[in-house]
Amino acid sequence: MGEYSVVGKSVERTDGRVKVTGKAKYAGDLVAPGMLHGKLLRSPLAHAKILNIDTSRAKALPGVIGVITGKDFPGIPYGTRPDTRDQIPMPITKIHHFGEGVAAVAAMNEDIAEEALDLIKVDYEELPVVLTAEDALKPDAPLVNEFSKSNLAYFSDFNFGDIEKGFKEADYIREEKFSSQRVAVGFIEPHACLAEVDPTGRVLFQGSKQSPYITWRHMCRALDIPLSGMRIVNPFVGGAFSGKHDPFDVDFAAAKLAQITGRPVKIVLNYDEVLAAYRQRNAMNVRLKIGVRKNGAITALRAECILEGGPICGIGPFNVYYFGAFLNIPYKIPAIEYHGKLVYSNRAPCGTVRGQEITLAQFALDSLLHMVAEDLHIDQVEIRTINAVTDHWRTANGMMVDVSGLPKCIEKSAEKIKWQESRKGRPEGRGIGFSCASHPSGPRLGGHFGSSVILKLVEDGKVVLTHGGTEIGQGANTVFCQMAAEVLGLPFEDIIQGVSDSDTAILDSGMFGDRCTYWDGNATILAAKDLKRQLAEIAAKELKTDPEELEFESKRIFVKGNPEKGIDFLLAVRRAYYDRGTPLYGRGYWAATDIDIVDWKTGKGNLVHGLDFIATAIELEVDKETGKVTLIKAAHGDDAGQPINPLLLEGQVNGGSTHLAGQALLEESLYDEKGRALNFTWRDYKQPTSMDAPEYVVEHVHTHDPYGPFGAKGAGEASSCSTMAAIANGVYDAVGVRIKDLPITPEKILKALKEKEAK
Amino acid sequence: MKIYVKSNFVVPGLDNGEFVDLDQPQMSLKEFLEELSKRATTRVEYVRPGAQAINPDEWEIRINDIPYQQWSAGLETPLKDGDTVTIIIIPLGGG
Repeated sequence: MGEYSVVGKSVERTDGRVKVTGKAKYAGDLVAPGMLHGKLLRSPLAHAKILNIDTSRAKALPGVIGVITGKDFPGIPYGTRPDTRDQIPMPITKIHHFGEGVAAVAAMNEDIAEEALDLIKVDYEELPVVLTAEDALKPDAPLVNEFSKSNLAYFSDFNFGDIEKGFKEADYIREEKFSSQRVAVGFIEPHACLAEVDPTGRVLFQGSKQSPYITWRHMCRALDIPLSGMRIVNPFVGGAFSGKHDPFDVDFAAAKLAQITGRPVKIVLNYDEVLAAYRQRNAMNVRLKIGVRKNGAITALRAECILEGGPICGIGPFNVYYFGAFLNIPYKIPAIEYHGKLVYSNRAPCGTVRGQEITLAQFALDSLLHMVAEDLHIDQVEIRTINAVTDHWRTANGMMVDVSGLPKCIEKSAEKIKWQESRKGRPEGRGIGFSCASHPSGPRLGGHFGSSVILKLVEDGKVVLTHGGTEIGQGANTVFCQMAAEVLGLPFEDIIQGVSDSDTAILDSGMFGDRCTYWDGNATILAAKDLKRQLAEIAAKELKTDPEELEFESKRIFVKGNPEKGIDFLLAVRRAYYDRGTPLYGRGYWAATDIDIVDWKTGKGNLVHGLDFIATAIELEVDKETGKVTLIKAAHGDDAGQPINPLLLEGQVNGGSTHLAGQALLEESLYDEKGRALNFTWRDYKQPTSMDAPEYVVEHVHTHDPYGPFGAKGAGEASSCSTMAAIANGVYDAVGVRIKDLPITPEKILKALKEKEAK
Repeated sequence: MKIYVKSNFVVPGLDNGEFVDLDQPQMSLKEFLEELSKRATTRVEYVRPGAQAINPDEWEIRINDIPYQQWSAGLETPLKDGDTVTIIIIPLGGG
């Protein structure tokens, strides 16, 4: 590892000031001349046939310019995989979930649009609903999705290693069931977009999207227009956490209404709509069976998991895959058998939430590991250390762990939470729970899956950086600017973030799976090197030396070992533009072509680079009178390779942990027996606030990933994978009750305490 | 005629996971893919109706490990007993 000037420093984020001063423009802030306002009419039923939609009265209302239904779209299904295309922009024949958009209106203002919705008459024939995985798989269950003849939306069966041998070698076997609930995604900004159509018919779409490339491709397919027929520009995005990848009815409706009316159409949802009808995390039921030696070493693991994912597949196949394939980390497990299913239901459509379904797998696995350790009288830190993956570990499904700081992370978290001291004595109701986790830095899915960065060197010596990823609040723009500045020997402030625009940037496949820092980061370095090479050629002629002999530092280009023999960076730029007329662009693109493309059938292969690791220890207090859990302190030992911006990294770790503390303790999207959402306002749906966050300590365990940019790994999702089990284990440590179905509510704790006392 | 199928996903309708037994003595690649679609319980479309090529954004198809586009007859390439058709799925999205 070298000495860096910009990398590794907690520089101020590029978008911090405009955001905190309210100057940043989000999709809801956008305006266009002649703009109309759109609204969606939503289904009051969760499952129904659409018999008729009468829009005539709405169309006749003064101020209404356009009204559409599902029939106005070409009827081309879209979906994440070509074998699971089960969505259309708006429903035509049936309603799949409560709050589904059935018609949309564009009007002169929001009030007129709202009034028009009341004038649309929809005739429904109510159908019985499917709400749970158990319901969905009954032989006589109503079919949820019209594109499928079964409610089994997707499945995977993986076998890694010799499972029979693994269980034979075990001295101890334990089997348990765990479950988790439906939760909202949790971003701040509701879905919003502005669509315009130019005189040639080309669509300009600006929306709050996490992965504009995905949105773009899906929208073009379902609207039946070529990719060149749509330009997609991302404004500021107020969080996404996997909830804004796909296009939704709101996006399609804005585009279609703009096409029909010939005027810009903006639709901004309110948050009630988001909580009721948009992406949530799957409900999960899992049965785990684990085999362990006397010393705590795991010999085998069997997992049967069912995810209930609403009426569409969406990215559900990824969730099923991630759950199973990544049971291979963060612990050394020589044999794994996995059976995963995704089922349709009439609850809101699922995507995923931060940490994807590794989060759920780790909640179950690390809860079980705690039980195992207790049964075998092994210390909670020791059992995790014994099983932690180490450098150059080849997992049972073939993944190569290049660098693992996990053993050190465990040591750090135990030290910071004062684990040893706590075993000697602690206040009544206090406990500490541990969990570890690992998350890959982006898998290789096939198709267009690279990342690209363009640097434009402006005449004044500043560099405009445009990348194909997305800044959704995580700080991607800032770390890419840091990387470019480092390579070019420029101050951080001299790198300016450009706009994400499909006309000028090569959008990459998306901002997910901890991939952006890693993939786009590598592309940034290559783009900066490309620019540097061009400048070096110019400077070398000026200095009468070889370009290879030049160094870039502090806005100067000089001969190695001879700083006096050099030229100003700006002079080289001017030579390019003024003497040669040469525009200077650096181009970089990167893809992990040396890892295996995902094998959905087997889950095997060397699937990823840059596995980041975390060990989380949470100290908490349980009030035995009320059952309330108060988080006191969370200590994370975190291996994200080389931190590019330690403060941002710390924010990611703590943010992920707070976010998932909500799923562990507070959150649940509830439905009545007819599938109608019950708690879709912020009054009723409880997410953690800063008041619920404990004291956080993050210990960065510096490692150097051999393939990562400056040795960095992805960072945003590991802590979300480790937090829930740490809380569940902490509750057990505090009061001796084990809650295996999330969320861990005061009611469940009190009930369990009562049952415990009765024994 | 027996046509073997290699894939990186569970091919819907391919019950044994390895091959398809067909009554016909000969079948083009296009007809074979349409037959696979028919056998699936979910809606899987390898070839869009009327299309003369497979959308490379969706599927990568090979006959005996050679991309189908390199066979002179392309999608109309006749398959024979024992041939292997490779189908690689290309997803669009991530978590």
